[in-house]
This record gives sequence, structure tokens and C-alpha cells, in this order.
Amino acid sequence: MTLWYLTRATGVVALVLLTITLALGVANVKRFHTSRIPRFVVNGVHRNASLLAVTFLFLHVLTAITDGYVPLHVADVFVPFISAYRPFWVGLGALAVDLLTAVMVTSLLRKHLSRRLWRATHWLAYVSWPVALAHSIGTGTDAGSTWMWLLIGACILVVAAAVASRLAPSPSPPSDGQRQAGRLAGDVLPVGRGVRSHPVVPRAEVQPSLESAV
Amino acid sequence: MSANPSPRRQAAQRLTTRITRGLAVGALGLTGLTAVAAAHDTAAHDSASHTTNATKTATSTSSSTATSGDSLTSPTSTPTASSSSSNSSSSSVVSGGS
Repeated sequence: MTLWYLTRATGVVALVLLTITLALGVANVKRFHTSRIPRFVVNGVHRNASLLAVTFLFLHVLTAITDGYVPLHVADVFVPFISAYRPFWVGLGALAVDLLTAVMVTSLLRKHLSRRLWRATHWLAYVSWPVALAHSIGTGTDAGSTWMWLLIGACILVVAAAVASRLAPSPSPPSDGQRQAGRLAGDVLPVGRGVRSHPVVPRAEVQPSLESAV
Repeated sequence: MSANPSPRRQAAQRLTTRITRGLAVGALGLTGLTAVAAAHDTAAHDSASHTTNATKTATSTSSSTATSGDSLTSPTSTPTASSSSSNSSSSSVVSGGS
């Protein structure tokens, strides 16, 4: 009986942690940082939250199999839609496990993979979240509870905000004139990949574009 | 990575550790709360279904069909959720919601 409660609880917590991981991943992509929270921290917490989510997912699966009330086998956890019990909804859970495993493994082997392959696999995280959500709603014993719906609503709001922020266009990079003016003024502007550096030009040439920018 | 990270990086690492620890503690706390809520829901569901079953038993006459509609909240007395029709023609187990 205790194992059954643990199955339900760890499933809920895994969904919450997956939501946090996804939101932090988007924040990382959008280069979110504050004066107190540098990007290094956002990236680190994103990585650790994902490991926590995988840990709770493992506990969820382990307790579901060992509890024995629902006829689940190890194969049902990894091969979607073959479970004797609720094949569709449990199959969605298996699909989420597969997707997250792919994301986790490629992230751990990131140094040995091409950046393109890693990025392509990492996009699966966006697919795994709604699949996991559907699994928790369709199979979840607690899906009828008010507190569960509140939790699910909060998760949906967080992910919707994160995805909207991800899809929103990034602020346009500073114009050549602004960059040069900043350099002349001694500002430190972030220069990332794809931002070409330009030779410093005399102030007289910068001034018109600076005025037009204002 | 250098052997001696800068103080700024050390502070960031400490902050990362603190936040991660908070997440882990929060996750464990939420696990406990959810488990308690699940147990509470199960107990409430059990008492409701016992009342319903008692009423059904008193009124039923011949059919022995058992429907475990929401029985996964109380996995104490029902057989596994796979359907099994082993003996008589009127005996069947219908698995349902969890």
C-alpha cells in the first residue's frame, strides 16, 4: 500500500520537476540572468533539476513495478502501448520515459556528440512534457482530485509562459552605430557568436547613426 | 576548468548548490504531502465505496459481476486489473479507472 502511494506521489513530483527543468531550460536559452543570479547558476540548476526529475521518474517506475497491484512489467516501461493495463495511457508514460532517456543520455555524452545532434535530441524535451502530462491525467489515480488539478494548472501555466517566451523574438542586437558608440564610450557590450566586430571609427561618423537610433 | 575558480564563480557554485538543495528538499516534501493526500483520498473513497457496495449487496439478487471502477485507489481486495473470466458465465472482472 505504501508503495502505491509512493508511485502516485513520485509521479506527481516528477511532473513538477520536469516542468521546472523545462522552464529553466528555456530561461537558459533566452540567456536569462540577474545581478544576483548569473547564467552559470541558471544552467547549473537546470542540469541538477533534470537529474532530480529523472531520479523521481526512476522511483515512480520502480515503485509501480514492484508494487504489483497493476500488472506492469519492465518491458511495459520502455516499450510504448504494450501494457496489459490501460495500454494507451501507460504507453504515453513509456513514451515519455524513452524521450527523457534520450535527452538525458545525449546530454551526458554531449562532449562526444555534434552540437547539432545534441540540440535536435534536446528538442525532444518539449515533446516529452505534454506526453508526460497526458499520462498523468489519463492514468493518474489522483487526476480527479482538486489539488492535483491545481498542480496541473500551475504546471501548464509555467510551461505556457516558458514556451511563449521561447517563441517570442529576442531583442534585436544593437545596431552598428550603437555598438561603436558604446565602444567609444567605454561600455562593455556582449559580443557573442554571429556578432562581428567592427573597426573603431571616428566619433564624427558615429554621431549621426546614434542620433537616429535615439 | 581552472583549479582555482574565481570568487565570483565560487559564489555562483554555492548558489547553485543551495538552490538545488532547496529543490531536492521541496521535492521530498511534496512527495510526502502527495502521499498523505493520496492516502487520505483512498480512505475517503474506501469508506464511500464500502457504503455503496453494502447497499448493492443488499439489493442484488443473482448477478455476481464485479466492477472495480475506481478500485485502484484502494488496492486491497480486488484482483489484478487484467480481465479474467475463469469459470462461470456470469462471473467477470471489469477493470476500470484508477
